[in-house]
Amino acid sequence: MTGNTAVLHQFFEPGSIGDPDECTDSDAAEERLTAPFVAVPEVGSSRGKSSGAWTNFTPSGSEEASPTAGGTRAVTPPAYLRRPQAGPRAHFIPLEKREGVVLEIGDEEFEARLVDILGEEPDVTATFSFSDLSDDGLRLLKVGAVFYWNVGYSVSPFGQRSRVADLVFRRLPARSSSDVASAIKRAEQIRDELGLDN
Amino acid sequence: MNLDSTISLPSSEDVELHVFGPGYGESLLIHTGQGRWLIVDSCRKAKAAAPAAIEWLEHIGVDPSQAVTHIIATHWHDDHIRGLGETLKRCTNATFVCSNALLSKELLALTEDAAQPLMGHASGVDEIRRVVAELRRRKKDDKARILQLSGEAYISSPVSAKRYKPKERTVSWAYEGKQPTISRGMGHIYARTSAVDSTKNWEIQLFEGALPLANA
Repeated sequence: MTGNTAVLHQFFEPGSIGDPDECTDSDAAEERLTAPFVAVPEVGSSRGKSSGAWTNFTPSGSEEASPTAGGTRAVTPPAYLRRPQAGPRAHFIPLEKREGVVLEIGDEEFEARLVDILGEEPDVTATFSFSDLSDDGLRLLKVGAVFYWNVGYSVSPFGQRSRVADLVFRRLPARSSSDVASAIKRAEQIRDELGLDN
Repeated sequence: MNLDSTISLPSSEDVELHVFGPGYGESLLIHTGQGRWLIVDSCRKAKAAAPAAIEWLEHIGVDPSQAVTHIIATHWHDDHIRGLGETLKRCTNATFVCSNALLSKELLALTEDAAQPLMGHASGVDEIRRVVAELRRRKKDDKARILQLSGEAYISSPVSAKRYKPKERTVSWAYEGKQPTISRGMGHIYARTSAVDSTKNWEIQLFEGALPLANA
């Protein structure tokens, strides 16, 4: 269908509700007759690619659902379903992503080996200050601990760039006994396949 | 890696040892004679690079799929297994040699569990899974050759001239000196010993007895 936000507004002009014959958009009219509510657009649908203005779906623009002649109601989608306003968003441009392993811990800093996750640079050894870590990070700091170190640009919605480095220690989520049993079962299957005794 | 263009192919009688590594997690490449090679562990300059031993073999015009008879994984430390999956994949005729622990149920369960969605894990987990995936693929084609070892083991070469004893961890190698080549985080040294009857005496020495290293 060719419907977009503008067409919907036209369709729901006061006076046209309940009178689909007056609508020139046959697809929209069909949808209105069959859908119990005004649908929230699916991602990728032609309506989903519209300008994103979801306001004033009902004739009066009120938040109340309005009964129509065919039992169809037009409602304003709840806030959590409304399409966000299009516009610039904050985002992160990665320049370097490394996986680190703590090698040695000193009084105020620690040494780590950094492996390039993006696969372009050789390993390096680096020294980090404890002040680079959050309190949680300090609690996780021990020899052999794995962390991720991301360097890049943080870009604000207004396009301002700032170079940032983020150091986050890997945390393992809690595992249930069924998770462990499932992993053991898969391991046994692999050993069976490889002809190894379990 | 700065590949030295002056190094020639070893002759069939030469025993040659290459050591690759950035100072930790070294990989060994050994010419055992008769155009056959074995690889111990794996390392590479960067994630996108080929494993150092494979890169070297191709540099000197050797086809890893034909020439490598054994790939030996000593232990699971991330820096010793980088590129091990690709090494195994490229060396299609090689026997995979590892300790019992590396393919134990417990370790496989650990890698299976760690690879679940939302579970963060170090890159070594993926590498072990690549090795296991390749072994499974070969098993389906009935081409997987796996040799699992228990206890301590050493590779005993014709030039070792001695048999090792338990807890004896120093291995010496008599060779003509060659200065290490080091570039961008990857070092490379090599040694060559000529005129050895390299058709004999290669074996993996276990302390329950010696295991002939077939085809080497």
